[in-house]
Amino acid sequence: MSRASRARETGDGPAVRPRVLVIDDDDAICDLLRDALTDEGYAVATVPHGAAALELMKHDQPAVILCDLRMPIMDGWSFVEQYRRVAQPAASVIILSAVRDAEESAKRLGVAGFIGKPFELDEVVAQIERCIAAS
Amino acid sequence: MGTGRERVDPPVAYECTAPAHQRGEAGPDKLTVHEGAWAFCPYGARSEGHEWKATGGVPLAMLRLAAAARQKEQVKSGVK
Repeated sequence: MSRASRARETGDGPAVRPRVLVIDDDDAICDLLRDALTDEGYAVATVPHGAAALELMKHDQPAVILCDLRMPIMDGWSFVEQYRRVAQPAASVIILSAVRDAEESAKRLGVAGFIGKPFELDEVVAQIERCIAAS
Repeated sequence: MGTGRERVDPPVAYECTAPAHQRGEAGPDKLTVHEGAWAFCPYGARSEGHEWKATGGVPLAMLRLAAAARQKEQVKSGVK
């Protein structure tokens, strides 16, 4: 059984799969995260930029958002600002980035976490679990 | 934020050796994933025509330094 399923298993019903939204314009990174997190028991959606994420979240609320910073159309900085403006932010945002000073940017944005690229998948899973446990 | 532990970056498994990708500039994102492992292209991850070569697993900082040194050499020798 996956870690996410174990975390959400209830006594008499099926496990609820926590939803994770990945925002990254690199298809290969999206595929890697989707495969790994699905194996861990999460329901994963991926979008290539912040504007697509805001659109998706009109009808689909994730528990955790993994967000790159540099993306076309709407970057991660703008996404976080817009997300807070247009929605009652329900999801924890974790920044995933190789941008220099990205950790400082993440702190300024006041997000739940930061992971530098390249990352270990275990580190991503650990931070998602921490966010879900804290919510 | 973070765990407070010293973070050790996972190694980068592939480097792009396409001659046209050895000059600087282009896309700001140099990291992508190739065959399930981290891959570095000095010209930008979103570029077309990568020629991936296995590195054996080296730190990203080392690849960045080597790429910067190559680009400096090219500028010196007038390669475009």
